[in-house]
Amino acid sequence: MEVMTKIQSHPTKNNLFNKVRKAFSNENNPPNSHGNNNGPQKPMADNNGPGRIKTGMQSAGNREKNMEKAAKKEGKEVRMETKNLNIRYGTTVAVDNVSLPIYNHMVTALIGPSGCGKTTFLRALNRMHDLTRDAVISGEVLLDGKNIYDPRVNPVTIRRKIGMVFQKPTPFPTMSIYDNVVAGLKLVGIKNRKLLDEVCEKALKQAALFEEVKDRLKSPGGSLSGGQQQRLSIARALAIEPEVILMDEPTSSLDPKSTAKIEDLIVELRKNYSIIIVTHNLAQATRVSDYSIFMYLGQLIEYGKTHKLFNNPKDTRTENYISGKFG
Amino acid sequence: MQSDLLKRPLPVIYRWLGDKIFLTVVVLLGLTIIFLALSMAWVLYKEGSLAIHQFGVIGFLKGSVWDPGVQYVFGALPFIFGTMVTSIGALAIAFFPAIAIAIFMAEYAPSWLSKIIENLVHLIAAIPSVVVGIWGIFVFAPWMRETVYLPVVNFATEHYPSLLPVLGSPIGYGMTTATIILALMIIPFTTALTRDAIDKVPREQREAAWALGATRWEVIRMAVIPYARGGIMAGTMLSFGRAIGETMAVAMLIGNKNNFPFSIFGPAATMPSVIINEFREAVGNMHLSSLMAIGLALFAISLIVNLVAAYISRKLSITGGQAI
Repeated sequence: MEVMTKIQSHPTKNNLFNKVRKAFSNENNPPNSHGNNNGPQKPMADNNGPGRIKTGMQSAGNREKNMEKAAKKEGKEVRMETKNLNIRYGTTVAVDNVSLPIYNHMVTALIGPSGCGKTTFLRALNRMHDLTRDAVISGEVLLDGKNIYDPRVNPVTIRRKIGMVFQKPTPFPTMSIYDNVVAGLKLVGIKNRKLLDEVCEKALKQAALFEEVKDRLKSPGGSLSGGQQQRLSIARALAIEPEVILMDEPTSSLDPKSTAKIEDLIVELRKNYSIIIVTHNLAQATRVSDYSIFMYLGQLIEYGKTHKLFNNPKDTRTENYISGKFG
Repeated sequence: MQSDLLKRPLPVIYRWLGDKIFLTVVVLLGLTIIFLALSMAWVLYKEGSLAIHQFGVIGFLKGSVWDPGVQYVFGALPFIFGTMVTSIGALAIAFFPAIAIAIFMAEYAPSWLSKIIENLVHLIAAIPSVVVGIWGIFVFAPWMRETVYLPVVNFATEHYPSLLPVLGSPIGYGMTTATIILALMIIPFTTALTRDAIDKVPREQREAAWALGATRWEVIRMAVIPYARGGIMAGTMLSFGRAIGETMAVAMLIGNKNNFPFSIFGPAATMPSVIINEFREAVGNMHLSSLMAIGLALFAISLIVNLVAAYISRKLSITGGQAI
């Protein structure tokens, strides 16, 4: 509620939406034409080197440019898809029959009031529910057309392909910054020091943390500030080069400055990854996401381009939520 | 309604008095425990001072002869040695099984099985040590004698006769038997304390490891054990402290021989066992005083072990790492 009123009274709100709208102006396809893989494939693979990725804060103009660029080459390839996904805890239905596509190289925001099933849905996407004994899942989650809940699929490989960043920063406190970043690589048995060094530097640069920690890679991960710890968690997730990154309210425990850094980072990362982010902060959803999913009471209410969903919501519940009537 | 209550004037004297009484009671009770510990140490020192003055602190601790009959010389070394060997041995035997049980309970077992194991562990911990002792005397020690000690000694007699003095007489009541029984007795404690430490590992830490594509064992190795290591080490030290002080079962099974050196299978003695075995027969002042001095040494060792446990737990526990 509070957040909403802030957004509405914000003088640059319309400005922001206009920018977003401008960024998407050359894209007219309705978002729910999923399964349409015939469009132009994303021209992404060209300059993927670490040098391309800028560190530190970006200006708003830069951010806008990025969005515009990404929108232009939007190929709308479906990366993940859920089909009739149901999740319940005992008798409580947390996610009710949700079917939707997740597009490649897009940031998809999951919004909705507390307890609407956003986090439960997100955690189903990389089988984190395997760890909670009472969650019952039915339906399908497809990654590149393959059901990740297929009994023949090893959840460990799924989680390597679909990384996750949590609400709280979770560096391993007994490991150094360096060891934290390469933890995922060491798991798969990579011991080559040179390779590890390279990956560590690349991941830290991608997470816009390298400049701040390059002189103290050996100090413990817990010694960083909260925002740095969260970027370290992102770097650790990036180091194993996942295809999709799930973020569960990654900035909810951070101060505004760190939040801005992470938001810049998300916009930057969409070039190489597909990102799904759960957020309570609607302004954040408009700032970072291409698509938005509004969930309410476990159901998918509305799914569409972020600017459309925020400016012309089709469902009254969406409208009520984004205008702050409930939340 | 609340504001009405607050508005009603409360007699100042009543509030003042209540506070004072509470403060006095708490401070007194708090001081009592310190006073008790100090006075206990003082009494042990006072009663033991005769022996300490006669042999000197170092001389008493280093003296390897304990002869209340003929020479009337008292040295605590055999018992300190016996205590340390049995306790450290018990800890070495108990450590890995206890950690394994705790990990199984916390990470692998379904919750119903975990609860059953937990109750069994508590049950084993609750068995009075004299019961464990009598089981040891009538079941475990004879079994060990028949299945382990005698075959080993027979083998040694044939092939390595020079080892026989080291192995000692295979009567079944001796250092090895006591050590194994001691290990069985501290496994529940180590398990319970380790499990507590593992339970304290935040869910986020495990999930972070899961999300990196770690397998079950890798999650434990990467996220759980490093996080819990402080608690595990502290729990181990506390179990060690218990092993040092364990009296009844050890006294029943160790064979109680005061002559140094001890052999592996043969009888030996520990500090608590010599105290419980000899305090009734200690008629001479010096003998009684020496037992008191051993009590003082035991007190000091237990205190040190507990302090070390507290230090380790503070040093290794993860604090602030997750703070934002």
